[in-house]
Amino acid sequence: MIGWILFAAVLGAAYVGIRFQRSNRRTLIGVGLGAVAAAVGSLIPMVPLKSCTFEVDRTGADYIFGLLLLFAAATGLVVIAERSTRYLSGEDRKRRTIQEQPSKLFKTSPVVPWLLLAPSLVILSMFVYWPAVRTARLSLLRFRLGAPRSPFICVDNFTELVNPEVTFSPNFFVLMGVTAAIGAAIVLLQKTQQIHVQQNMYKRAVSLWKMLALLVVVLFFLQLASEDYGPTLLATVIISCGIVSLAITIGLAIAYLASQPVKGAKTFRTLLIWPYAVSAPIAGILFMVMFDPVVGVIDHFMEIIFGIGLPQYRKTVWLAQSVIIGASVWKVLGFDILFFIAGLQNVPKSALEAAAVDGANAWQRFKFVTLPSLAPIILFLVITNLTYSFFDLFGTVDTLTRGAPAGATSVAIYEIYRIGIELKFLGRAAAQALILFGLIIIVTIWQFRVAARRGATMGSTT
Amino acid sequence: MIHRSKLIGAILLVLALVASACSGGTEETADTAAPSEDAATAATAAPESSEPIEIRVSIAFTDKRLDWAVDVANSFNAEYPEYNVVMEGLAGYNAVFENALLSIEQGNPPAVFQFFEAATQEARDTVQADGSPLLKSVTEALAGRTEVNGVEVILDDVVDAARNYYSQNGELESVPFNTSTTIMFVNQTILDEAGVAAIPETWAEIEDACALIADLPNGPEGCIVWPNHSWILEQTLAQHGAALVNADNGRSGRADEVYLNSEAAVGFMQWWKDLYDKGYFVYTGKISDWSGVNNQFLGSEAVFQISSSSMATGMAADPPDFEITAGFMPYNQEVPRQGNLIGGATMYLVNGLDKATEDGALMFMNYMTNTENAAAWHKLTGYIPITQSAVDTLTAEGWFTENPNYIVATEALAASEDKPEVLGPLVGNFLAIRDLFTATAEDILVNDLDVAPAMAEANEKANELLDDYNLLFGG
Repeated sequence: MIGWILFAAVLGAAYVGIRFQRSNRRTLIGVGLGAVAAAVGSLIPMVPLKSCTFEVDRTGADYIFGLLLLFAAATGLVVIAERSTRYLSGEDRKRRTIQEQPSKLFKTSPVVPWLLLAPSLVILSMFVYWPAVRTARLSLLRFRLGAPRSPFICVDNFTELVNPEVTFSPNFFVLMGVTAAIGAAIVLLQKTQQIHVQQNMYKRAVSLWKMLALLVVVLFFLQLASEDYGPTLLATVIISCGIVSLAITIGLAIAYLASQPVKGAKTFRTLLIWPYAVSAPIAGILFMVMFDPVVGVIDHFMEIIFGIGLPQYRKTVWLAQSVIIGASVWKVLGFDILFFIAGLQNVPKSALEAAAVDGANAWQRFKFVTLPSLAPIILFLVITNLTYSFFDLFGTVDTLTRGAPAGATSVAIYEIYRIGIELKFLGRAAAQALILFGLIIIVTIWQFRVAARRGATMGSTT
Repeated sequence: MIHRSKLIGAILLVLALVASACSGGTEETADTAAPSEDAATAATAAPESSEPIEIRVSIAFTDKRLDWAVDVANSFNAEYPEYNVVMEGLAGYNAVFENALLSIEQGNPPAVFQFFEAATQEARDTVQADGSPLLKSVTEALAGRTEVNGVEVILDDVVDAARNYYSQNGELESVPFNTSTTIMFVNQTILDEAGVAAIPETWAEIEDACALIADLPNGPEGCIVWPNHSWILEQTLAQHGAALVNADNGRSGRADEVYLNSEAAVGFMQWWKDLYDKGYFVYTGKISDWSGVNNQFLGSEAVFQISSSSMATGMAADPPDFEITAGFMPYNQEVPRQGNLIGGATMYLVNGLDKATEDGALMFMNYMTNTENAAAWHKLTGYIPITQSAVDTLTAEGWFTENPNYIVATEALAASEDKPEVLGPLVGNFLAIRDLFTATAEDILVNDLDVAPAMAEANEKANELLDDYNLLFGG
């Protein structure tokens, strides 16, 4: 393990050293700072873990997991250290515009902001940070309420989610190779500057490549996951993608129609938002009352009119998943429509008129004027809908399928509840909760990056 | 100067706000204190002594069963004013259990709490935060007394199946409360139409009856249904006299091996799958779907429903347009029927109470289950009359002649042998093992898996779960 810490320290030293050199600060201080930050950072996860992942009787998965933790923590601390030196040396402050300068009128001591922050910090610490720390601690234990012992089991709760005999299919390697090749080609094209002619196509190729790369990453984790956890991940991916894509498409379509100037549009719009007020389990129960082949209303009318009832949706994977997606889309639709209607009202009329004068038809006006100006709202809705489908599906799944058929609708949050609360494996549930937390962190970082980039482009165009 | 005066002004403003907020707060407290005091006096008006001893009882019901329990607590409080039983209803057994553990940790223990049969091993193993046992055996607490402060002890009167289930070394540890077993409800109207002479008793008779029913014009979609719940498997194992775990089904020592791959278990699963494949069994597609299965039966989509005997009350309260009869759960004709086991829950006494509270708790537990209350509870809920005297009273008043479906469970349990395989398993992580079985059963039915390998794989995982548990609780 010490070898790895030294390695991390060398990398950290090199990174911060180079950054210092580039910004004309003392390279040697940078090297020292980077080395210390990386070494301390890599120790942060290893102290509570007692370096157990590097013990001789541990599996390869444990070793790799420990290594990933070590480097993740080292990277985190190095980045924080480098940024804070930039802040402390005043380099950031120089970049600030006049408006951002601290006000002369309310010149206060540096304690005051912290004092003002204190109430929220206290509450956050009590109800968010402390439970989060406890969850992390729980994830390292075999823990059960009322048990006389809670043995420390290193990272077993995490690594048991990985298939010990993982094999990747040949098709996956082909896909990975193709993706890598396309990526390399794109970079090469960019370097050789042959792209300015067909810039639009280049952009499209890059975004397609990104989707392909995302697919490869998702497939990688699906194959890596254990026999029990794999279906949970797959169900989460399918159901989340289904909910987000359908909710946004249908939401936009309905909002577009509802914003047309027709009689009674306002009443109609208000009615559309209603489902949002319904809670997730109620949405589940409503859909069950409609689609259940025994007590369902639709089944009843189908039998009266056509003489055939509905199939049992819980026995077919795609039907069960569709019903979950349907109930959830119906529930979030109101929320999406609300934002789209607001967004559509802000689409600049002059731009639409100008496009019409230039001969753009309705579809072209929608595609080239309306859609781009809705982009920030779409991004916001992708994130909120994704968060909804990660965290709020429990009630819907519990009332509609309880994970049937054979776990095909048991999404991550439902699995966490089932394992932690029903079956009382708090350690395992804590580990899975942390994984879900990690996923949300990744999505949030992505959201911030995209939002920042959009902010930059919007700034440059105005 | 201007700044300073502004600052002073601001400080004064803040002080004024704080002062007004504080004074407002006190007024509010004074206002709300008055009515709550009144309420407290009203609640404790009955007892003559100034401070009755509080007995907190925690149960897992929130419906009419909680109302009944509250009524019983109120009449107990009226009769024994030195005590004040506070009945609280929580959503589910696990909530009750966690509530008990955590409130003990916070120094406010309940005196009595209800917990379900499958968690008996866990209840015995669980310790309080200070390491002392969670429970105290009621037999031990009674120390041979036949009455506590005028309340007669009913432990010896509890029906055998329940008493033996919750006993360790021949000593009853808790006071059994809501208890049922599986019986088979029959749509007699369709059965008569199909020309089936008597209620089928064996697996073979069920299949014969199903073949006749399938031939009916405009007949039901399926023939037999039961919820995908491990209890049905456990009942079948009891009927076979086969154990689910070692150490005499966990009753002569700590079980450390599960037998989900036993001949009886695999045989049952194979029979279930055959029924499903023939279209005789219709699966609702949902695990533990008691109400869904009941709806299939009430909607005449199946003729036979194997379910909890307590379902009888719902059917009696809202009768469908066909005649319902009931019989024992059918058994495998290859092996003689050895009996059925109980399901439901029991009332536990918390360890570490002071003597007066403990006696009050014992008084209430026995009061709640006295003949009159046990009979009323049975009529309200369809759970079996838990004492023999309650069975006798109900028989004498002609209740079972009027409601023949209500006696089937009592008869099925009375016809059961007193041996560990029939009493049912005691094993750690039982809930997770049950969950594993239901998931496997669903997989086998829906995805058409081979029964034996699937059960063998489930058994392997079940043993891992048990190892996990024994690592935490084992001696």
